[in-house]
Amino acid sequence: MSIFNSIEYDDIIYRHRQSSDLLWSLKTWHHPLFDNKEQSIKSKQLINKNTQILSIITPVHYKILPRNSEQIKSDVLNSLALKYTIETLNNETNTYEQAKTIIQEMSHRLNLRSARFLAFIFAKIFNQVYENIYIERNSIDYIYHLYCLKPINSSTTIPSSPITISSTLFAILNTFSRSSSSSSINSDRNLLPSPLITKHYITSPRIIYLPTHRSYMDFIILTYLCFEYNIPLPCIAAAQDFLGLGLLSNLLRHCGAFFIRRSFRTDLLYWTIFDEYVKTHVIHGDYPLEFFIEGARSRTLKTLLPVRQGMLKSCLECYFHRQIDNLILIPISINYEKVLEDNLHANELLGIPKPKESKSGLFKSIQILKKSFGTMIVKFSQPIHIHDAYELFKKRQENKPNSRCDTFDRCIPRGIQPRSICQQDGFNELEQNFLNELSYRIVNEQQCLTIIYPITVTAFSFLNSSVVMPKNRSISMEQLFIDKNTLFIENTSVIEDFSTHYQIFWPSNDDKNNLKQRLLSIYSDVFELTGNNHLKLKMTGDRLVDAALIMKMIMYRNTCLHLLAKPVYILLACQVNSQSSISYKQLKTYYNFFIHLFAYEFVYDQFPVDNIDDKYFNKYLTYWIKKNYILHINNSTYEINKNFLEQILLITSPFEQYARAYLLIYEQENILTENNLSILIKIYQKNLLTKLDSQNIISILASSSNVISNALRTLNLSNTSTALSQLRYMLTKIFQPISIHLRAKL
Amino acid sequence: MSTEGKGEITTTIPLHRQELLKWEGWGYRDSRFFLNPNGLIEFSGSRYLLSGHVLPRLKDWMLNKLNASTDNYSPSVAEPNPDYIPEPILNNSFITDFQSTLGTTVPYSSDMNDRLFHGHGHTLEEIWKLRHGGKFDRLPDWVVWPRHHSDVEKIVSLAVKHNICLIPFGGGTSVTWALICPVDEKRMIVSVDTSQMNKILYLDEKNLTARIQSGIIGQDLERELAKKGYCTGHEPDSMEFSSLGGWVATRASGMKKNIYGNIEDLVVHITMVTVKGTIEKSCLGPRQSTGPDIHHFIMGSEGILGIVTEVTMKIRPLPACKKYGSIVFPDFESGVACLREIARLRSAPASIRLLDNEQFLFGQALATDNKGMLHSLVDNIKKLYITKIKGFDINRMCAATLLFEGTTNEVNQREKFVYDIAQKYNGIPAGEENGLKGYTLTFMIAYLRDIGLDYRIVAESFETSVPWDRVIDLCRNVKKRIITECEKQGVKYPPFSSCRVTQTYDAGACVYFYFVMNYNNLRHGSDPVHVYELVEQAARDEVLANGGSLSHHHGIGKIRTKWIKQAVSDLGVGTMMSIKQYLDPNNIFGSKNLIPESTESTEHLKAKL
Repeated sequence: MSIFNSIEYDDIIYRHRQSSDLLWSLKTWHHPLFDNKEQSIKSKQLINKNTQILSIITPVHYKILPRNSEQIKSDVLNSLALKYTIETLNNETNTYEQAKTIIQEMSHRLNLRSARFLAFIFAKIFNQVYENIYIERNSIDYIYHLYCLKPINSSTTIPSSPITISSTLFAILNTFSRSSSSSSINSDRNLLPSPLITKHYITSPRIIYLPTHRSYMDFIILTYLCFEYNIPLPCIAAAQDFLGLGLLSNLLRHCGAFFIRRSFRTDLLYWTIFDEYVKTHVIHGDYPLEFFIEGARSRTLKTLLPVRQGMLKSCLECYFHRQIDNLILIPISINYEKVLEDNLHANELLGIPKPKESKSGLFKSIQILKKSFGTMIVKFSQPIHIHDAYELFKKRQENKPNSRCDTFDRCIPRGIQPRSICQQDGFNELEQNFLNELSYRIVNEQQCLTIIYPITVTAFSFLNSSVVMPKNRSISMEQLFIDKNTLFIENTSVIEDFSTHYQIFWPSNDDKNNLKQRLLSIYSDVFELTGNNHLKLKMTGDRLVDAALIMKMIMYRNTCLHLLAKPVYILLACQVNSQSSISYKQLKTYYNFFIHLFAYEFVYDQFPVDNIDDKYFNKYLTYWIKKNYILHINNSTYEINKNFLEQILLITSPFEQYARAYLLIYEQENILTENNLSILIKIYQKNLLTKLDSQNIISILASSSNVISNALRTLNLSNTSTALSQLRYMLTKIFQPISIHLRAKL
Repeated sequence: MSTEGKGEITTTIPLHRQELLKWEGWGYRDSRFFLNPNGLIEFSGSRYLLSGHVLPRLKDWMLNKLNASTDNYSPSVAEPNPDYIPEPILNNSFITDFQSTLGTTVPYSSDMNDRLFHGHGHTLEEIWKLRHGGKFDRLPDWVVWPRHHSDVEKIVSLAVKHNICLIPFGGGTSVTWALICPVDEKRMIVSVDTSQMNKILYLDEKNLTARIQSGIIGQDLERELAKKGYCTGHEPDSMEFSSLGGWVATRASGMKKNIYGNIEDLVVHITMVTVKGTIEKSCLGPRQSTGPDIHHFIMGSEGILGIVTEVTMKIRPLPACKKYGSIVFPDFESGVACLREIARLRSAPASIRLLDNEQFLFGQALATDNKGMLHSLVDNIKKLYITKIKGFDINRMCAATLLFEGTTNEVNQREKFVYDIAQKYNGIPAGEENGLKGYTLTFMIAYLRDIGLDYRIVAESFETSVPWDRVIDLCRNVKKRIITECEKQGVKYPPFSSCRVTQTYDAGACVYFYFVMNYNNLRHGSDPVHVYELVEQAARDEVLANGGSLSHHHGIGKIRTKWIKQAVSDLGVGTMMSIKQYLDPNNIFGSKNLIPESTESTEHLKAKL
C-alpha cells in the first residue's frame, strides 16, 4: 500500500512485532514537563506549607503539579465555584455529600502502572487484530514541538532500540518504588534550546485532543500512542454508560477516563462539578484532555452532527477568562479499515437495541480478536491555537457591517464577571458564534483527513442503483478499479476543494488479487466469491439480517460522502429535469436546497446558514462542464450529457438515495406534535421498520435512526410549520416521476 | 534663580529646559550611563546615589540577557536637525495683541529648541524621533510662560479671541503622546508652559493644607515644604520633573499612596481656567455632596478642558522615621499572596513593591563596584543560605521592597507585623540596603533606556490595575504574550519581559510591565519602532483581555484612545465629549487627547445613513 512509506509514517505494529510487548510496556516513561524538577526535602515542606496558605490567590501551587487524581478531586471539592453553588442550592439534603459522591463517580484515577498494564494487553491485542497502525511522523513532531521536546528522528528504529533488559529492569524498579530518580535516563531527552524554556511563566501547553469517535477502540488508541511516544497521557471524557463494564471501566478509569452523565444541564450541582473538573485540568495543564466532540460513537461512520459543545465550552471559558493564555486543539481522525463493532452499529441503526454494556458481552467480544481488522491510520490535524483563531475571528467580525447591538441589551464584559463562580450562560454572542464556528471547524478538519479504504469503493459499487438492490448482485474486481477511478481519481481537483489531505488506501500496482483477498479476509462476514471470481454479498434471506448487511455497506460508503457532497449536488440537480434542460437559476436553487437539506447529514467547509451564496457553485459547475458531464446548451441553460450517464449515476447514487429516504420520512403521517426529538425518532423508526424491505436501499436508509433524526433536525432548522410540506413538495418534484424513468431506460 | 517676592522658591527647572535637561533623552544633561574607558558601564554626574559609580555587571547582563553587542553603537544625533523643524504657523493679530497686553510680563519664545522641547513627551517613539534629529510633523509654534492665574486667564481669552490652539505643558514627562501636536491642526499652536507658576502661595497649618500654583514640580514642592516641616507625600516615579498640574490632569499616583493617598485623595480644591472662564468650588469642606464632583472631570482631563492654575492640597508633618526594607520570596506566586494578605489586613507600609524574578535578577546586575572580599563573601553566604538551605530556586525567586514611614514606634510595629506575615508566605527579610537600592533604581530606569538605545535596544514600560484574583494570570499571560508576539514579528533575540506589582489596594493591585528588546537582525525591511508598537499593542490587548484596566495612572493621551470606548463604554465617552463640547466648543484646548478622534464624524455619518 504504497503511499504509506516509512519515512512519513510510523507503523507501530511493525515495530512492536519486532520486540517484546512486555519489555515495551515496562519501558521508561516519564512526563516531559514535570519529571525533571528537583525537590529537596526542605522544598517539599515548603510546598506543603504553600498549599495550605496560597489558596487565596492560586488554589494550586506549581510545584505540586502534576497532581494525582485525589488532589484533583479535593481541588474541585474545595473550589469556590462549588461552594457558591452549594450555597445557592441550599436545600435540606446534604449537598456536599452529594457532591462527593458525584466526583467519586466522575473522577479518573490516572496512573502509570495501570497504563503500563493496559499498554501490555493492548499491544498484544493490536498486534493480533491489526495489520498496520500508521501514524504520521510529522504530527508527532508537532506535539513534541508543543512540549518543547526534540522531534523524533526520521529513521525508523529509534523507539524500539532503547528497550533493553537493563532499562526495563530500571523501569520495573521505578514502577514499584515511585521515586522519581529516573532523571539519569531522562537526561537524554534534551529540551529544545529555546530561550523560553527556562522561564517559569512559560507553562505547559494546554492541549486538547479531539478524535473522531467510531469505536470503543478510540478510548484506548490515543493513550496507547502517547505512551508509545512518551508524551503526557490524556484524561478522557467518557459517557457514564461505560460504568456498566465493571472491571474494564475501572481499568479505563485508571488510564485516565472520567465518566460524565449524558445530560445534566438542569442539574446545577452536577454541572458545577463537571465544569470545575474540566477546568481544573485545563487551567493547571498537568494533563491534556481528550474528548469526542461528536458526543457518541457515530454508528453511521460519518460525522455525527450537530456537534456537542459542552466540554469545549468549559475549556474555552478558561481562555476567555484568561486563566490560561492559550489553548491548543488537535483534531484527530482515526480511520479504521474495519470497525470493531460494525455489526452492532448496523443493528443499532435499525433499532435493534444496543446490548447493555456488560462483562459477558465483553468476553463474547473476545471472539473478535481472532479476526483481522486490517489497517488503522491515525492522522492528526494541524493544531488549532485558540488565541490566534479567536483574534482572527474577532477581526473578521469587525469587518462585517452587521447589526450594532441594542444598547439596552447589555452583555456583561468578561472583565467584570467573577471568575470563580460557575455561570452556565456566560458566553456572549461573539463568543458563542466563535464556539459554533470552532466546533464545526473541528469536525471539518477531522473529516479532511479521511482515508478511503477499498471497502468504501466496493460499497459504492454494490449500492449503485437508485432503489432496489438486486438480490444476487455481484461485482467484478475490474469494476472496482473503474469505479475507484471514476469516483476519486478523476475528480481529485474538486475533492481537493474540501480537503487536500484525504488519501486513498489501495493495493500498490493495482493488484487485483491482493484486493480480492483483502476484502474477503477482512470482511469475511460480508462477501463471498461467486464462480466467476465476482464478489457477492452474503445474503441470508432473513429480512432484518439482510437489512443490517446492506446497512453495513451504507456505513462504509458513508466514510467518503462528505468529500463529494457539494460538487455532486449540481449533478443531482441537473438530473431533475434530465429530459429537458435546466436554467442556471434553477440549478443554483436546487444546489442550495440540497446543501440545506443535508445540513446534518454531511460535513461541509462551513455550516450552511440562511441565504448563503456558496462560493463553490460556479467552480463546480464549470468543472462538470469541462468534464463534459454537463452540457452548456445556451446562455444559461444546462443539460446532462447522456453519454456519461453511467458515471453520473454512480456518483450521485448515494445522495439520491439519501434524498429519497428523506422524502420517505417526510411522507410519513405527520406526528410532529411530539416535542422530544428522541421519542419522535423512535415513533418514526417503528413506523418505517414495519414496512422495511430488505431489497430496497431507500427503505433501509429511511429506517436508520440517524437518517430520521437528521431529516427531522433539518425541519427544525428552518423552524416553520410549512417547512415540512415545502420540503416534501420540492423532493417530490425532483425525484418522483422523471428519474425513475431514467433508470428504467438505462 | 530669583528669590524675590513672597512664596518665590528655588526652582530647579530653568525657563529654557534644554539648558539643564537632555533634549534627546531623559533627565539631567550631566547624568547618563556611559561605557567608560575600562569598558564598563558607569553613571555620570553627582545627583544620584549611583552617580560616579561603576556598574560592573550591567554590561555583561546586556550582552548575555539581551544579546546586545558593543559593536552595534547607535548614538543619538548631537543637535536637532533644523531642516526637520516645521515652519511655525503664526497668527500675527494674536502676536501683536499678546505683545501689547502681556508682552512685558509673560516670557514667550518661538525658538526652535523651545518649540521642539514642548512638542514631545517620553514614549519610545518620541525619543526615537528626537535621537534621529527630531522629525515631528507638527510642533508648537510658540511657547509662553505665564506666572500667575491671571496671566493664564488673559492668554486663554486672547486665544479665544484669535482662535489659537492651546496645549498646556507641565513637566513634559508624559508617556501617552499627550504633548504631540495634532498633525492636522492648522491654527497656531501655543504651548502654555506652567513651570513659572511654581510658588507655594500659602500654608494653612490649622487645616494642614497648602495653596500651590500648578506648575511646581515634585522635588521643589517637597523640598520647600520640608523646610517648614511638612510634606505632601505624593511621590510619583517622575517626581523630579513632573508638575502638580500634570498630576491633576492625569490622575497621578504616588509611591506612598498607602499613607498619603493618590492625587484624588490629596486634592482639596482645584482652580482651572477654561475657555468660558474659571471653574472652581467655593468651599474647602473635606467632602461634599453637591452632585457629581467637578474635581473628577478636571482630574484626568489631560489638557482638553482647560489649564489647572492653582491647587489646594493636603500636607502632612514630615515623618519622624523612615525605614527601608526588603523581603525575598521563593516565587512570584508567594509574593503576590503575601501582598494580598497585607492588603487584606490593611497593614501595608507606605510603599510595598514586588519585583518578579526577571527584575530581581536584573537588580543584581545593577550592583555597584565590588566592595571588597569580605562583602562579597557575605553575599555568597547569604546566597547559599537562601538557595541551598531554604530551597529557593534562583530562577523563580523574587523580592519585595518596602518603605515604612511614621513615628519610630509605628514604623517598628508595622515592620514587625509585615515581616511576620511575610514569613507565613516563606518570605525572608533581606535587609534595609536592598530596599533602598530598589527605590533608587526607580529613578534610574528612565536613564537606562538611553544607554540601551545607544546599543540598539529599545525599552518601554506600561502599567495597569487589576483585581487580586487576576494578578498572577495577568502577569504571566502578558509577559508571555510579549515574548510570543516578538517571535511573531521576527524579533531575533528573546526580549526582556518583566513586571512588578507596585501598589496594593483593597480590591486589587497596580502592575507595571517592562519590555526591552534588541532590534538587531530584525526581519528585513521592518522598522524597529513599528515592530515595537505592534508588540506593545498586543500586550495592551492582552492586559484588557485579562481584566486589567487601560491605565492606572499614565492616562490615555493619544496612544490609547482606540481602547477608551471599550474601557468606559460608548456612553461614557459620549458624556466626556459633551463636557468638552460645553466647556470648549471651538476646541481651543485642541491637543485631542482622551477622546478618539474619529468618533464624532463616524457617529454623524451613521446617523445620516
